[in-house]
Amino acid sequence: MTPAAPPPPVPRRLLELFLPEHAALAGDLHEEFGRRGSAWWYWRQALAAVAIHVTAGIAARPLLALRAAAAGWTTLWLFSFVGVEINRFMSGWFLDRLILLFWTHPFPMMWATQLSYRPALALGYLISGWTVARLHRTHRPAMLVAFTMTVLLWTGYDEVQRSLTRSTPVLYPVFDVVFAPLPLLILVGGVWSARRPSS
Amino acid sequence: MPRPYLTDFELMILLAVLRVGDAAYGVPIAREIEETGGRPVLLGAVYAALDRLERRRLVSSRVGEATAERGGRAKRYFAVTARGVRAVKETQRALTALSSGIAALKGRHA
Repeated sequence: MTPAAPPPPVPRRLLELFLPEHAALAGDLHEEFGRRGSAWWYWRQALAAVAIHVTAGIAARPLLALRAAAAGWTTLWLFSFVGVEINRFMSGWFLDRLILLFWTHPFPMMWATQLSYRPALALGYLISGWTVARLHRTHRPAMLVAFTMTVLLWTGYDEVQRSLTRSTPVLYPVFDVVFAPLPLLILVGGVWSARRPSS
Repeated sequence: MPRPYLTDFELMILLAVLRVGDAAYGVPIAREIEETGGRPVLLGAVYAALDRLERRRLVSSRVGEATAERGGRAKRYFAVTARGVRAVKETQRALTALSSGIAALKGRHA
């Protein structure tokens, strides 16, 4: 008998990362996938399982979720002191090179400004995700998502607010869309923390 | 204080576990609800409800065997406790009492 094809790797990995303590559920989904053979079915079930369990985890421990958000924001704030220096270096580095290449053309300059402060921001998200995950090892996925949600809500609100009051370049909304998923790096930082041995 | 009664989904899950019997793990429980109850379910929702019921000591669980067709993961078998059976009976009694004497529920085309 030919062994059944394994389920799609991405949702399977999501289950391992976000529901490590629910191996039986992952096994059930694996078994049912072997019977149904539908990748769409597996994707839907896996994403729903993650969403249901993470939401239930936050709802069951609201104070812990608040603590996770506070720890994450504090880390971001502390990192901002280093981030300012990284930004200063990056903007100088980008601008120097772009001025050499494009002189003072406005579009490359705009990209330079936007790109120069994103690496520090990305690093801040990674470190804050790592910190929240280390501080909340027993409920890591739910607490990481709780903190990520607060950041996404805040950055979303901030972007909308700025785009409403902005009177200049039409290109800025492109940046907003391109960089909107950047806070998801918090989850990457959390996953990175989970992969490191704790000793 | 725990809720005395069950939600409709919790009641369906407890009944499905009772119907499936000794082999009650996620897949047959979900299948029983879909086929007998006529309600499509997400396995994640079934497990979330079972976790909740286990915290309320209405079901108990034990880890079973791991098989290759499950990617090497073990099954988790569920059984309804005596307290769970009482909760089912109480909920059924409350539903029967509430629905009795309602004219709109009588007759074939209600």
